[in-house]
Amino acid sequence: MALFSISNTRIAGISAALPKQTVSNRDLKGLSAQEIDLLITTTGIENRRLADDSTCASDLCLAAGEMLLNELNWNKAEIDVLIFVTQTPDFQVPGNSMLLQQKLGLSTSCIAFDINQGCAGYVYGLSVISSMMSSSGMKKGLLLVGDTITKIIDKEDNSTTPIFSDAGSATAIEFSNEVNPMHFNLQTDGTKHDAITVAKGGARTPSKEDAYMTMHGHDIFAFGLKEVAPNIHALLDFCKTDKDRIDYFVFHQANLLLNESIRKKVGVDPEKVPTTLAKFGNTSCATIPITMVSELAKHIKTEETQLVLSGFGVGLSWGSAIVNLDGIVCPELIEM
Amino acid sequence: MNKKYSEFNSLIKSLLDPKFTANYEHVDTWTSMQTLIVVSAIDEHYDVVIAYEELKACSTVKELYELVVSKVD
Repeated sequence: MALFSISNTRIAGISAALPKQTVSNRDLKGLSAQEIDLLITTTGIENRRLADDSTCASDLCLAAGEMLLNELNWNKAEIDVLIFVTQTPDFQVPGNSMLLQQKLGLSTSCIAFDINQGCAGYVYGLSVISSMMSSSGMKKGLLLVGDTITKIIDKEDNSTTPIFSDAGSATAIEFSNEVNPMHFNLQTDGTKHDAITVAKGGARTPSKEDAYMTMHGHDIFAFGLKEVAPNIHALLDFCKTDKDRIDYFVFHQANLLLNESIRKKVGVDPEKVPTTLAKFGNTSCATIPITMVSELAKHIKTEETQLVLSGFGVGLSWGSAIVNLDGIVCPELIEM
Repeated sequence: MNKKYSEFNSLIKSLLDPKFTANYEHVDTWTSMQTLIVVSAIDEHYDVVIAYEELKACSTVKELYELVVSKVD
């Protein structure tokens, strides 16, 4: 069932980390100055962040997680569950969640597992960790969401290189009897699984030669136009919530032209739709938390806010969530 | 129908910078970015989403217009 609500869990805090290394789309090779202008105008992406050879998503999420747990003053031994959402784990096996259980110094009684999800990964991950905690009574959980997509794209491919960027995030979830439910609408269409894929290096085709991500941008674009706004509208209807009561809509940072189209279809003003495309590009599953930390910190730290979060892309997977924040911990963006 | 095609043609022309395409009426001369811009505009003005394969099957703006009309109808 795509539409559901989860009670008794709240987001206690969010943090995010980016590599310091910045590259500009103005320095792209193989394109004229006018082509670059049009690319930047259309995608909205001017700068991207690249992790160096020694930095993986696990490192970015570790930094975000350590910062967040410190600011929350949480006892690490009390964390019951850790979920790591990524498509770029350090190793084929084991998953990043086990590495972070060790590096964060969490209890061996902590449940830890990975979820292989991309653009919709934050929303998917939030629904999974919240469901587990709500149904089991687990008190504290940590959702780590991050990718270093730049490590799996062909630097010569101008359909992917100008788009993707690296980042990691941490979200602390807490059990509480005194909060509004979160609501979710999650969907899948595997018939278009090859729209974004790394076809090699897995069990189907073990060869790792040229194991790069390929993306059919136009298919993703058409999918976004067709599916995202109806998904959000269905969620609002399910909750009997008017869009005007939502304070902010945080979309996956895919492409400015697409996101603007979605914004108009949903029928909301630009002031309610923050973006980090120009500064950070498409950081895969981490775009939603990065945008919240970068653009909404002063609001979500001090005010009660109601947000729609919407992720869409690889899978194809897409989903939106309505979350209520009641003044959360949100440290400054980490750059490392 | 002619007036409506004229409006469609004008819309497409307004979207496509001649720096990138010598003759905007030939769909196969459009760049990748221009194709996205046109797909977005068609969606906004006609509430129709054109898939990439459908657009690439059109040679001219006229054919694209006929495709859009068929989807609206």
